[in-house]
Amino acid sequence: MKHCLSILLITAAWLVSCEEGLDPVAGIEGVVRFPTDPLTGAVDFPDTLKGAVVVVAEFSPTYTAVDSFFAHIVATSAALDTTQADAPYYVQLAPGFYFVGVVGLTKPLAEILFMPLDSLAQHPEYFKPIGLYHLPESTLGISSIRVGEAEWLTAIDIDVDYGLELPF
Amino acid sequence: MSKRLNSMQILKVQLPISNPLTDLGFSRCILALLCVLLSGMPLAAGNGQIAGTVYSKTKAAPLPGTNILVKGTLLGAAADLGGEFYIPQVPPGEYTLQVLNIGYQSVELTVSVAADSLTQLVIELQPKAIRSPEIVVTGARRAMRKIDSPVTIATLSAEELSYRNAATVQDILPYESGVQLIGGQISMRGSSGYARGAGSRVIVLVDGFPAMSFDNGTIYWDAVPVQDIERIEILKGPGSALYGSNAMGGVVNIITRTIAPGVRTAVSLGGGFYSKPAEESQIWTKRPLLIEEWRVRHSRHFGALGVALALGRNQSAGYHANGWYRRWICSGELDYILQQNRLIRSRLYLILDDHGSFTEWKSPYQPFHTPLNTEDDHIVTHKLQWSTQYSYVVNPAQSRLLRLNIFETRFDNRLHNNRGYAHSRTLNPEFQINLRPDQNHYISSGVDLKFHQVAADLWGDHRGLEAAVYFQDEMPLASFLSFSFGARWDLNRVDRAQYRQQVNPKLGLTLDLSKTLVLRASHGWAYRAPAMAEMFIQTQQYIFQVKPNPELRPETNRASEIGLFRQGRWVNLDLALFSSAYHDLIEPRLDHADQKIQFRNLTEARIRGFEITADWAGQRTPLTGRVSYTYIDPRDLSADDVLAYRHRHTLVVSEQLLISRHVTLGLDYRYLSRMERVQLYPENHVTGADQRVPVHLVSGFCQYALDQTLRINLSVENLWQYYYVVVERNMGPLRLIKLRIDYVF
Repeated sequence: MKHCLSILLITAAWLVSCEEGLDPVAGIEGVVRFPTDPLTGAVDFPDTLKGAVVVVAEFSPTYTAVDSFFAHIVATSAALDTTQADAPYYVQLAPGFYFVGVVGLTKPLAEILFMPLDSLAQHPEYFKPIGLYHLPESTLGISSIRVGEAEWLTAIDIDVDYGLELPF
Repeated sequence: MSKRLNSMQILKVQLPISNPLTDLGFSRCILALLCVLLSGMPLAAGNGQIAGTVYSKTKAAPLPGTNILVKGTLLGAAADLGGEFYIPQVPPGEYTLQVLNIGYQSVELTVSVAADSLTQLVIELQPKAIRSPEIVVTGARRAMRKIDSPVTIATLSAEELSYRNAATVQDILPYESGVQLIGGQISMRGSSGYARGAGSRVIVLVDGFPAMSFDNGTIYWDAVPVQDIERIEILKGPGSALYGSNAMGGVVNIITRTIAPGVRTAVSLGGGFYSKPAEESQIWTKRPLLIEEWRVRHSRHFGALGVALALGRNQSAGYHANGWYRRWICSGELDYILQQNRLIRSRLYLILDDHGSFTEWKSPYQPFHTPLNTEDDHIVTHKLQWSTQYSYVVNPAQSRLLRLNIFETRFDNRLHNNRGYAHSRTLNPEFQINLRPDQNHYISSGVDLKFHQVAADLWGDHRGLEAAVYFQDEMPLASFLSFSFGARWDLNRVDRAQYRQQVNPKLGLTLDLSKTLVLRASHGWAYRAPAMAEMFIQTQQYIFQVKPNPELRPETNRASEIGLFRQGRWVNLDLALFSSAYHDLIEPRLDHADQKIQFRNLTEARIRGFEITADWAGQRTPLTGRVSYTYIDPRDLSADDVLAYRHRHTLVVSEQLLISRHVTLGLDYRYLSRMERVQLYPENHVTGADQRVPVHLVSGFCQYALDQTLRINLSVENLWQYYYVVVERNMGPLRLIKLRIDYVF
């Protein structure tokens, strides 16, 4: 009886553990390219900004202002390493259509990261958009992406422009 | 259960006893200081001696490692590799000897000792179905039967280390229910979460000496080669009443082997590889993920002096990028027997280590890759532990220990964004005395000093002092009832700050309800002084600024346990109910005034739970097994939430089958329920992103053992290649197939 119990437990373990565990995920990854000083090669990140993150907003054709963009943020990356010219990032996402951008933070990141996404939307002044993902051929300067079920998009690279004007 | 052996032979031989003082005169000169400190009581004239050999009844082979205790005294001995033991300075009289060995029926036998005579014994032990070490030293700082301890003490034997091909101690500890390791940080019954190694709430000892760096509380799991380990004792509960700070959640005591008699050379060769992930995108290298290890150890005796030297090399490619390590392990051992009742043991371990640094994965899509820019990140560490113990059995009622431990660590970060270093050195002298003034008291008492010196650019240069006095009295109130009381007074100071003091008492009770049923209960206080890193760290990672907090107070714990142990011929059952109330837990928090992170005394927490363990053996089959289940309810009372980084359910199932006299097969299953809360990267409720899953791990092994000379082990960990995260953005190990050959000549 005792051994039957052990054998049953180990068999059950085998059934649940064989090449199993994590489910496939969907999301995006890439690098954020910061401008560098042409002489020193060091990253030129302004002192007025406290940090930077990649933000992902749900796609909507009706964006008319910055605040509506931020009202639709569904996910952010971890803090970008602003000392590196090419700062890697990734964001895990549910399947759907999205816009992807980079924002500089006017408040310390440590404070912002402790806020839920919903309340972040109430404070667009905390963010300064400094980059938007777009295809090279895009004339609008912004392109949407589509993330499918268990699909991971790579090379969603974004160039930083501190004088960025949002196209909506 | 204990029983008399009919097959035991007792021989009494009258032999003249030589005077060891003249034989070993030079040693007295070398150790004059120690002798002045520790002697003081002349050798009792007219005493007798007990010596003998212990054999296995079925195999007719000697049984090394057998413990022989003279009941009611502090006298005892362990059998050497030839199964021989020797107990000097036994006053004339009649005694009960307890003979205990893992895997054999323990026996009690009565012997008479005459003045100036040698009582010689030949003892045969009957193998038993259930195999577990019987003697522990961690619960009371003296050798005692495991079932006499008022707190739960689990043991892992050298056999279990060998079966499972463990490379370091941390590979084997998760096979004990209620023990979890996250990124090298140990938690016992939920005592710790995960703080990237800073500030352990479980103390790790090597032969009773702390093996943790003072500056950040990091445990050096590779400090002792597994081949040198006799057993590991795990005290699941507060141990500060004997071991002070860091023993708040439990104690892990690694007991090393003594040097075998004669001339011996041991060679160990091992190798293996990790399987690669099934998904093409997750494969981070085309090279095979190999691990290699070798070690040579040579030991010999020059009269009373035993010496051993060893050199070993371990290296691994790791199962993920930057998971590699290269490690040299050098060790020197010395055992010196003076006058049979005085022994010096000295151990020196030097570990030179270089390993990759992996903080988090590149992405869930490529979880075994390291992020861009971090590919060359690595950390160089050096560790040195030199411990020396002088033990002196003055008479059956008194023994003394003088111990000195030097522990030094240094790490140099060679990261793309951090070149920090830290160098920590601790000098730890200790004096302990064990007394048996009468049949109603076992007293253990001592003085423990620690001098710390830290030089680091991460948390500055500091000096620390810790002083402590401890006392414990075990009182057998009746043949079926034993009560113990103990307390430790700790005093500590960092730099020129004020002294802080702490008193941690504990109470214990064991009640023999019947010959096979023992009830135990304990209540104790414990604490942990903050680590230097928590008090003085001043750094910036990315844009997170961390500021120091020199005013950090110790965190404390008050814990209770009630346990029931039933010993059977075929099944042992153990049940433990436990509860811990934590105060002033130290955790990192954001200071909204200046937006900097600081370690603070914040959390009030309570952990309650129970643990059930059953060991068994087949009545007609050579099959042994073990099931252990631990449930904890870890509550953060301050936040009215569950404590982060804890598994509520833990289950461990092990089966071993003795195919023949030489071949053993085994299978293990470990289950950890999904972590309910994490702190670093909380899950995103919008996207549903969450990589935490329950953990199901199956491992198997096969061992071929030819007496004490040759062992061949084949093991497969994570047999079915289960994918799981240990902590956010860190995958657990993949399937590891490993072969190791140990040969002694």
